[in-house]
Amino acid sequence: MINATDLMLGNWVKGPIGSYLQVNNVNAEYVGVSYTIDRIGCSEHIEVEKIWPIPLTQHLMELIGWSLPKYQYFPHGEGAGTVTYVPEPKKRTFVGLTFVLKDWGVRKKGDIVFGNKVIEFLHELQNIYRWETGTPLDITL
Amino acid sequence: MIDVLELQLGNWIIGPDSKPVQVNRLEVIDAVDSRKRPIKKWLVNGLLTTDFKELSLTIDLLEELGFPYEETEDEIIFLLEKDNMAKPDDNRSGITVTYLKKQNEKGYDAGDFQFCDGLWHVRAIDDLQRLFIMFTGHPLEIHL
Repeated sequence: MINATDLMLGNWVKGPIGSYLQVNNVNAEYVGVSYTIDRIGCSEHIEVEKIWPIPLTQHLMELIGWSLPKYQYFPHGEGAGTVTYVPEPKKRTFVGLTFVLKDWGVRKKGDIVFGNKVIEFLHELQNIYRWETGTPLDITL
Repeated sequence: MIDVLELQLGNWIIGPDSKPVQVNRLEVIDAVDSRKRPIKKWLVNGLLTTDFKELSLTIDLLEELGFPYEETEDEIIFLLEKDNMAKPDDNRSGITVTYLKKQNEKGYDAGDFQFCDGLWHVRAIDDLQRLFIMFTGHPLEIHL
């Protein structure tokens, strides 16, 4: 279940049957979501208990247009074993997310890290991106 | 006017009656303008966002909220949440917001508030609440 106080309008979440939905309304009891079926826009209200966060994975990062650089620099010491995600070039913005390539200190292989925080879910990435750039992260799922 | 896309439930802002109000509902609705063109309308607690403003961060407000602080010649550091490993008298270890009395080496001006030792500039209570939840995973308890 998702915590309603974490959500912002425009966040992507997972519905009761696993479908990806976009938040257009939120209060303590329910989340209003919109989605498309056969190119027809639909919306409905779903109880907060039936809404789940979408786990952030390397596959999902690539699906939303972010990629790891082809040529990776492996520094020693601080930052070793991590590589920085590159947002879609046309966005001309930079949000310093690093992808952890191997277990390293408290970091686990596969972690996606911003600052000192592991970003676990897509809505967290959207909220951080919004804060960092002042614009919403454009995502179509 | 406040940017509804930056708000979360529980955020404190200034309402239509010029008093602090907590966000309990956020929504975007489909509507039409005077020329019958489809538009989106953004609502906070059922009212248009034009009725709301940010609640500016001030030293007085942070003191009123009861956050412990430590004052030096250059800054005032308010502790929002203590690091689990911190000593009881350490007011700098944890999630902090710092008020600058003079410009610092990171380029922040006197009068600015910085979140977590210069990581970000914050100017309103909802900024602080949003960053806090981003970093701790739980809301910042505020009662006004």
